[in-house]
Amino acid sequence: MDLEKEFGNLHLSGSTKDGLIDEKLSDLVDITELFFDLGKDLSPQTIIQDPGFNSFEGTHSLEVNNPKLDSSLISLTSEEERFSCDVACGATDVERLMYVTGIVDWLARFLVCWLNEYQTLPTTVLSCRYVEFLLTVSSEREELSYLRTGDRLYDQVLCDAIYGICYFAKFVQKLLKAGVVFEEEDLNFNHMGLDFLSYVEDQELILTRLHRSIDYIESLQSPETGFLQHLLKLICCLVSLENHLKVYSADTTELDNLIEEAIYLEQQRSSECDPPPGCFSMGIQKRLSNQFPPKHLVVPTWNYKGFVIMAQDIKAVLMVDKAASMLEAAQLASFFNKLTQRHVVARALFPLFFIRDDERVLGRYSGFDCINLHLTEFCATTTASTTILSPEMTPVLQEAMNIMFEWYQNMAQNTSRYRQGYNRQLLLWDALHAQMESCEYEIASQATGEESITKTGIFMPCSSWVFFMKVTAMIEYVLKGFDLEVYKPFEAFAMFWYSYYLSYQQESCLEKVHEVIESKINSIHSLGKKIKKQKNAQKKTELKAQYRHLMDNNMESLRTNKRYLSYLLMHGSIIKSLSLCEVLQFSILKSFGVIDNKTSASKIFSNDRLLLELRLKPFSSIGVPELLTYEAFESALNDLLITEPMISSKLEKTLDRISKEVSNALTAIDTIKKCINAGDNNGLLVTGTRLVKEQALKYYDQLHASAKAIELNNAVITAKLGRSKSSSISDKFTVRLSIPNDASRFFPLLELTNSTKNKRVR
Amino acid sequence: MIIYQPLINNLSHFQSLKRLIDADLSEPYSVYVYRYFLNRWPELTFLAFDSESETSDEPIGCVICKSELHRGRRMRGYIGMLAVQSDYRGRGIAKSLVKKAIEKMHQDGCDEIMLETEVENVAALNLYENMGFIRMKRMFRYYLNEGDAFKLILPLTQRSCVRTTFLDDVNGIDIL
Amino acid sequence: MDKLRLPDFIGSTLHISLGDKRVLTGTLMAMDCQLNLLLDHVRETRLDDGNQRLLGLVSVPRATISSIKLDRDTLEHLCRLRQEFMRQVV
Repeated sequence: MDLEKEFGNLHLSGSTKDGLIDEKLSDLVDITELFFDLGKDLSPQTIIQDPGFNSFEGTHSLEVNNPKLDSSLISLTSEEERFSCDVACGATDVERLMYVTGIVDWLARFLVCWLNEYQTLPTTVLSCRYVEFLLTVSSEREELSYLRTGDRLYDQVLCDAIYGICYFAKFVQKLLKAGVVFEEEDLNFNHMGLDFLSYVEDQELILTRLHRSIDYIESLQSPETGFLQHLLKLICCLVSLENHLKVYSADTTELDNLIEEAIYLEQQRSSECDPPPGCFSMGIQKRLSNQFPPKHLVVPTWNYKGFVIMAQDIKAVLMVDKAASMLEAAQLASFFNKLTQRHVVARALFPLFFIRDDERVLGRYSGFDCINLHLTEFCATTTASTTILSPEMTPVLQEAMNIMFEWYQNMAQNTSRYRQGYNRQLLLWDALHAQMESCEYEIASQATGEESITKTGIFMPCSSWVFFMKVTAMIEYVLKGFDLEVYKPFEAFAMFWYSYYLSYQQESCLEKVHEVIESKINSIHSLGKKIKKQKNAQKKTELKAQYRHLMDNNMESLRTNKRYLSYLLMHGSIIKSLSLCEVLQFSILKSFGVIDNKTSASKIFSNDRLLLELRLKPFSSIGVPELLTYEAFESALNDLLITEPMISSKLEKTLDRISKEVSNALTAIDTIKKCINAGDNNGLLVTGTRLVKEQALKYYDQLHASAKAIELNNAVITAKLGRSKSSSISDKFTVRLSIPNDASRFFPLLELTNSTKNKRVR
Repeated sequence: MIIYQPLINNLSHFQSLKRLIDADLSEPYSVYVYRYFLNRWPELTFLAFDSESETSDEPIGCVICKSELHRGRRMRGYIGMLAVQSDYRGRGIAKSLVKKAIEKMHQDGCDEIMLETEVENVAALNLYENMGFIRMKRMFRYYLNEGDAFKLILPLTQRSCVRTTFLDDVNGIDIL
Repeated sequence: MDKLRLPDFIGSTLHISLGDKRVLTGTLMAMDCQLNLLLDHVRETRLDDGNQRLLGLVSVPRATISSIKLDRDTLEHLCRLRQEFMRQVV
């Protein structure tokens, strides 16, 4: 097959590729005078426009002769103007090799600028003349076209490298089009009207050509070609990344190769070559159709490490393929993006790899299976009853599945969108809760047997799960606000108190489920005891069979359930304890007059009640758990304030309480960490963190550091404030929220700092 | 002495307002951005003048706002631009301008006031938070390479505190 | 042509010359009191090399305008519309 084709001279100038028509200028009438004449006496507030025109759109327009908004004003150097892709840059073989290496090197590093550093496509990869040229020419023929400079390094090697990079970009474009990450915010794909190889179906072609170029360069037997060879190998790895989406490959071989190549290139700084002058420029923004303002190029730093990050993050995502339970999948989703925001390609890949084109989770489970497993792994009693299989449950379970899919997708979002995602999710969980309860109640009240009845009434496992998911989302939304620095110090009381309250609600729910599971386990044991007492041989056999059946089918999942619930309870207790500690430290600080839960802002326009209610707005429509009122917060804080008489001993009591809660938290953290390390088959708890062990341990380490920091803060507060109130104290200090190194961003310290009396607005 | 005035209907200071804002911000604004705000909501633009300067008819500071029905349920005032000439800074002029604007929007029936500002803009955050604004959300890379932004809201009425989906139609009966 | 008013031109395609460097062609969406124009679906033609490209929505400040041209057929059409309208009003 003839891989190279002839092509004629192609000029970008004067092209009619957009289907543009040349006007016959003689048919135009000059109405300049008429216009300016008619416009002479217009009143200042006049806007003449189409009645259907939305003037808001006008705010996004470009503007002629405005250097910030007119890409035609971009000035290019003479090298940039004169640059031609028809001629091989470089006078000697050595120079040409240097230039080609420089071009490919810049393109590779520009990929990192684009994806890791959130730059735009036109200011990175598309700023290269060769990329623009080759994509333009190839799309006209709908097949890969090649340069004709006469030099094989340009005509073959450079082109193969560029097509490899563009093929990888095509994969990234596919991720963006799937709508799982946000355009502009997470990823820019301003293709400037260029077609990124939509006509190339198969990576094989691209890879074959890259390999032939690698072979060719190797055959040159020159030490200076090493760097370029490795660049091409890196590009091969990039080309194969699409397999993780195309065929849902979980094979990490190419990712490991990518890491290896990137590390090698990172260490070869001395091999750095420059691309030919004029090769990279803002010219494309001036030449091609462009609805965006001009943007300067960034010079790519020596950032090959960026590929390592991308590869490692994708590997972290692919671990979900090994999930042996829904719990493990959910824990991976929870932890993989929690401590550090992952590479955009990995984050976009996660929901697409997890919930596949055919709507099957990991290609293994239907949506219904998925929900079934989530429910069962939370509370095994759901399998014992016929609840899930009842036809009335189908639409409810469908909705549950939809929300779970959204939950999984939310886990991969950027750090700010993650919190916003819960804002929307809360309404969904709440609606589902109501639906689920009424449905389950119907079914359960028709069922016979004591399995459904607990002390407090009919036990509804599915509703309990929904409630648990809802409250967990609420806690996460509240505490994430600290991470994102959304709260001022005065708001810390309300947020931590609310988090404490929600944790308490969560705990009640979990305890109930735990109790039910435990009673089921006990009833199987007591069945075993009954067998011994049974004299009647036939009945004994029956009981034995029953016992056997229950032991074989239910006991293990019940035990696993119980240990998982224990983990949830223990984790919840940490959040509860730390939230309470923060609340108590706040109350001490307020008692000494250095902080208030009321804003110090002027109250001309608003008031404390409105501010609190606005803050709690996302929860305002949720019935259960009941929203705390302004009065409830006030009275809670007042109850905690330390007042005369006996301030010293009351203070001591509060400090002791804080120490106790810290100690409880540390014990719980310790236990959880041990169980994470030991794995789910041994030990007290089931954490489901096998696939995210490192991240989970780090997360609990951070909580440990926070607990320690809170304890230390006790001492600092006492040292600075003393043990008796004085009026001068409140002027001396102020409180700010600060996060110690390596501590959890969800529990900033209420740090006492010296007050600067004159706060000037900078 | 600093004098504050709303923009009057003849938009007489259109050009100087444009110059004032263009000089201050790195964000590029076309003339139609100014037309959008100033032509539609002239009463929500306030200017500051130095009566004692030689150019006392040239504004040395301004705030440009709008107000609209938000999602069909809530009147929301929006602070679009705020600028004070550099030699006039540190005198509380920005604060006075914002105050006047909010007073007007409040008078006109706004349930809340909203604006976005960069996370790093400590001066703006201090200014608005000292008036009672709180941070409702953080937006990732809102200003492209300039970084994250906070959405700030000042609640003026109860309606600001209820989720839009649960607010009655403006013309219907308020559920609260 | 002398009966035409500015609102009549809204929605028609204008050809704007900006100095001797380039020509913008686009749909007139809005005008302000200073006759700064707002055009949509703008096509820019560079006069030195003939390069053409699409720019979308563009604000054209009055000061940048050298000339405004309109297709003869369109102009005649607008005149006819205006005449029709005035006849109906009477």
